[in-house]
Amino acid sequence: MTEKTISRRRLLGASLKAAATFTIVPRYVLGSASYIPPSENITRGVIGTGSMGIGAHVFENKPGKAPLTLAVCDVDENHLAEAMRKAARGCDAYRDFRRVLERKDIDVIHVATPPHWHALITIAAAQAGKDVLCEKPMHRFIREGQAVIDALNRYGRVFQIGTYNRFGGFEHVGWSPRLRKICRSGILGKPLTVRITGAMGFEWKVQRHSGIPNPTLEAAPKELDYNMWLGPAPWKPYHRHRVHGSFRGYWDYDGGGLTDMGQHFLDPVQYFLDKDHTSPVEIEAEAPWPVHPDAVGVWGRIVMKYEDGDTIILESGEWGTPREAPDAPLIEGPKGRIYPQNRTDPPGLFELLDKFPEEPRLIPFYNQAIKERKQAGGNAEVSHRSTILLHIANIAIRTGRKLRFDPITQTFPGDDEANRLIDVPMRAPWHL
Amino acid sequence: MADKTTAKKRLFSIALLAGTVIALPVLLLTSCAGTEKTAAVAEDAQGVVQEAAAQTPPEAKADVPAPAAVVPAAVDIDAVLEKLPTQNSGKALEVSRELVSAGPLAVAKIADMLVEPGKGNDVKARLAIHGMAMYVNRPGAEKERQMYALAIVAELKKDRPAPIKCFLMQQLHIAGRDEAIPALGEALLDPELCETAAQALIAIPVPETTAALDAALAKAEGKSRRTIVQALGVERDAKAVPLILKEAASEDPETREVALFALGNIGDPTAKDVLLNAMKTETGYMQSKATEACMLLMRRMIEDGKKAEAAEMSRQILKDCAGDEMRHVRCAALRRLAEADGAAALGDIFAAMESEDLQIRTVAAAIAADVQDPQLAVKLTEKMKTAPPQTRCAILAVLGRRAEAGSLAAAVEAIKDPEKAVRIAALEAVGSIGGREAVKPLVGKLESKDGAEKSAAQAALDRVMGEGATAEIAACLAQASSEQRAILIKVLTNRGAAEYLDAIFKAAFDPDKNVQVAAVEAVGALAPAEALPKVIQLLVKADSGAVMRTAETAVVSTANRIIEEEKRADAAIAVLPEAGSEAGCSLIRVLCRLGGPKALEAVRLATGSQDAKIKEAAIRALCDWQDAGPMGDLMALIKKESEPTYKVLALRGYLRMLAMPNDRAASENLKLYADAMQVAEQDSERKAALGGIGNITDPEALKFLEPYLQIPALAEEAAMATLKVARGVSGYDRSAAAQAIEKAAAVCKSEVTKKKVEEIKGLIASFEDFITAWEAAGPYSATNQGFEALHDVSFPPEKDDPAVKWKLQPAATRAERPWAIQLNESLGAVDQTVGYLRTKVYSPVEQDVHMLTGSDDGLKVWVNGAEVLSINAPRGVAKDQDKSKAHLKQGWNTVLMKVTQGGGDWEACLRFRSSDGKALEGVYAKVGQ
Repeated sequence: MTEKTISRRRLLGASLKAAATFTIVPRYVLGSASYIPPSENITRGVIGTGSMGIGAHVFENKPGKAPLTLAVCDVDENHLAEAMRKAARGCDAYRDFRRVLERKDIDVIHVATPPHWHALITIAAAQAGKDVLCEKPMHRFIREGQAVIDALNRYGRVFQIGTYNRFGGFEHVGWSPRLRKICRSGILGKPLTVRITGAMGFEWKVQRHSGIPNPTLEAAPKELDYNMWLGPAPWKPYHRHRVHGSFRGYWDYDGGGLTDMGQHFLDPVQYFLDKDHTSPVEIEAEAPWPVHPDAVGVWGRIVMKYEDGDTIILESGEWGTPREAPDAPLIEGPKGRIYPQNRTDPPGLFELLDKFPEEPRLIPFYNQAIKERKQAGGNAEVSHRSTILLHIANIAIRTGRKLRFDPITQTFPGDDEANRLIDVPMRAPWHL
Repeated sequence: MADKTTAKKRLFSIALLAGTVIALPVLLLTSCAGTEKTAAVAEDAQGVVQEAAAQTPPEAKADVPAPAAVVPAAVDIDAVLEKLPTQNSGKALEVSRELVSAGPLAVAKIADMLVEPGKGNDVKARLAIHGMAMYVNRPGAEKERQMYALAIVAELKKDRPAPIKCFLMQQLHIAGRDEAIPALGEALLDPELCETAAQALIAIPVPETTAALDAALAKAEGKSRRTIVQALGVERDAKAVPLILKEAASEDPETREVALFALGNIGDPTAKDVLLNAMKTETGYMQSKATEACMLLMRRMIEDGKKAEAAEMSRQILKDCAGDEMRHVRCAALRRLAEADGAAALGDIFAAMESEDLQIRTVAAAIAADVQDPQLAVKLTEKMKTAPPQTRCAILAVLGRRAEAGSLAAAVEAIKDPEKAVRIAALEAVGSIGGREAVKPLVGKLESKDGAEKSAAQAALDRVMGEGATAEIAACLAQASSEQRAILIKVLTNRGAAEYLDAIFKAAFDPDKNVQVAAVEAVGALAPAEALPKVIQLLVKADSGAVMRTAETAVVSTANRIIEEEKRADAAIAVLPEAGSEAGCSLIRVLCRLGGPKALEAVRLATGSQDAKIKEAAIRALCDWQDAGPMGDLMALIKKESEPTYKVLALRGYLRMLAMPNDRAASENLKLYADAMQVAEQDSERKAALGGIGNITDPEALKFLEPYLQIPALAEEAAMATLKVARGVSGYDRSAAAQAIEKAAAVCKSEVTKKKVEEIKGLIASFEDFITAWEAAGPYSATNQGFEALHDVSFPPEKDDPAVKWKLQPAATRAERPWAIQLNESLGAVDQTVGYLRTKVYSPVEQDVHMLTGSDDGLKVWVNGAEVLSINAPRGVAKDQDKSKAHLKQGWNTVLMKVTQGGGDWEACLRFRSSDGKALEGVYAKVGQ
């Protein structure tokens, strides 16, 4: 319930900000007289209408106005019926996302399925000429992210990930553009250490999104097309805990609390550390070992280090003995520390920045990015980079050892085992 | 049972023959009854391992040492399994080593423990098998990896259910190489195993996997065939093209889809016509898949050096795909064309840049920027002379992205373009190309009458790169107009150009006020801590309010750069006595912003100043202080000050500080409010204090407010505060709340009050005889356990653990079921968890009662420590869902509820009734021990 509310607020916030800062551009610069920029009447199809889909992506078509939500799609009839009730009018229901992509009158596809479908549907949408708003995490494994970027670039599509912490408020701790400004200013010195820990109030939901390693057998409910729900993932017997609301606890579909909350928590960190173009080179995790092959388990601490020495420390606070204090700094450099709620050591560091210009405003997806065909603030390249953090952390947990990662090739050099976890084969006919 | 277990453990203990490298794992034979069977198992397992090793392709065998080099050690497998998963990260390596050292028979033993899903608990076995796969495939452990993979292959040969074989094949996905290929190839022909086998083969990074897939394709049918075609496509097996071409004509669209993908990915040009034809004959989703297959084929052809053919194919697609609906396909084809043809594709790219379609133009510009052609800038510059405005914008975007110095002149020229959009694009391009020469043209535009152009010029100056650019910007200050000077100083600030601080200090005395303000702002941003006295002088010498206010911020910013917090106010305090009236007031405002004990003391002293302005500034500073430090000063000031304005200001400040978050008990806060009420001289001040009391959610606050209900001038505010407190405490002290609202209603007759009174009355009435006085604790959860499992896990509140932190459960917020306690309100929204509620129930007599409960999800209830109800089920809450018998003793009885939470709402309700269903007289609940 909380997550729904926050996400919707963020989404609306981003759209409202976009509307408030609109730039008037001559029409001939935008397109021919016959070309109607989608921003004037952006239509959408929502694929996946479970809790996130219905809460953050299906909007009611207002009476007296042209409907904007033209299609909703889900493999569960109950979800679909609820989405149709919310969209209210002018919207069609689909059980197969491929039929939604065939609609010529839809500009944007919202992907709100479980993560094992995110990349495939995004790619298919790009191939069908649609722009995409995709829920986090952007993908389930690293190779998928590269394929998404390729497809979007090839077909000239615009993409936004469903997390907005880099646009402004970073959870409860600060304002991302200001954190970026202070990190880049050198005021804190180098290298920097960022802590995102349970003790500081970052709720990693590790236990909540753990899987059940030995589930009983159940018959799939008749309203659910379980085979299509599985899609590219390996076939496994149905149990209710594998699907709605708790699918994050299974490696086949997601990566636990780390991938549920990670993009919210780490996408802004990549942004303010100015690491949108790169990834950590060294990853070490502390977790129970071995990890169950099917059910996601818990973890305690993850340390990721970049080539320049900047380091991110994650602690779940849900396993092992936390080493980071509740009042530890969010960002720590040799010359200064930033604590949540703008507290600094020495105090007043943010006041040094008052006269500097704000970081260039990130382009919001709806309206500006779509209309002007520019990269949105949460575009595929930066989103892929922040998602990489989640996957390499999970791979370190699963392999149980310290890993080295090459940010350019996006592989683990000389590590066949770890590399087998960055490109997972799919069930036919689904493929990258 | 114990004997059997011991025997079994011994049976599978594997021994190391000291000092001997052995070819076979040898069992440590014991005196148990299973000796003969043990030997048989050992021989059987080793035989399968050897057989599998014999099937390893010869080229692989040449490089891989025999598995016999891995020496089995004596390991008690059951004991090792008990350690899994290790809860100590440091132990992980040790346990892994122990498992692997036990050799193939350990794998065999553990594999025998695997059961089909739903038929038993094999968690430890799966952890062990999978953990070994993860451990042996680490870099530098080839011998261990091969031993393990061969052991898994041996297990696959055995008669096991398909789900278990799939699990074993998934381990080969992680740790298999050449040695696993024959077994996986065999599995491809079993429809139940095909998908998993194909996925494992794809994951194995050796080329020999295609042979197994080829062989299986000839025999496989139906869904398996589709799976194998896809795998061959992923593996790019050119030999399979003739067979796959047939599949591209299948009537099943999903088979066609994988065939088209496979043909594209393999990259054999003979598939070109089939794929191009599919683009025309397929529709909808399948058409987009056929298009993507063409794109894939062109990519592979380019990689294989067949660029001309790829370019021809791209041009064909560009020609065939007209219309807005296919614009994305044209974008993709254009990109492939540029990759294939390089500079030779420029004609097509230029044509696309002239498109009226923004999507096409944007993509074309992005492609052009990446084209490898040293003459591109020249060609684009030439083209700009005749191109329409939208194309000129696109060209300038390309010049900016390529940032070649040779393009600067053309971009500068375009700053004079008759079209505004082109002029703005030109300014952006000049900024991106950069260099010292880019500066002056941009500075010139800072005087533009057009705001957008002026902003674009400043933005370009902010980011212009290249040697000498910042020096050139600073040099321009000398000849610039006042308007330009102010912006240039901002630019220097934005660029963090601290090396030009002297020039900026000088500009703080510029004849133009705007320049002065900009310069003082810049000083605040750039000055180091050592420059603080000089910055303070800017404040002291300021001759206008605007400059002085800006200088205050500059002083605060610079002072905050001093590492030692306690020294930050020193410089300002030192100057204060000599500063004069205006500057003194300004410094006091600075001290207020800096805070700290020394600054507070200096401001305290200033409140006694003979200079009225200084005194007022000091009082205002105390009132505005950022923490509650001066609360005592303010109360003292209120008591002794005769000037009404100061008294009012001080009381406002005091009340603001009193309302700040604090750890004081409710009674202490009420005492401080009492002090405020005593010194308040005006009703408006008393009303403000009463408003603050409304935030104290404690029955004591109701008592405090009661006398003020009788003072007509304050009655309304007192009533509103009373109602606010009453609403908050209504759940756990409904009699106090009910009495308080009656008193509030009696004295305040406004419509608003009436409405609120009715709301709270309605709320209390709707509690019926349900118990609403509760304290809550939690949430509690356990790894890998859903709420149904947690129902029977005993957490600290069940054990009377004194360390449990109990909190007051707020009154219900759901209008439709106010009798239900919402645990989300006290414990947060957490799934797969449990929470506890406790209270004390008074019974005037000892009696047997009926306990009526409801919950969302499951529920357990203890009365006086004895469990009286346990419902473990996912459900929504309703009144009286369960009826149980309970016994209440005379006096106080403890009641503890445990409520499990799967997701969504999290609620519970409870009431006691007589055995004939009537409400009980004299029974009530109270929180607290």
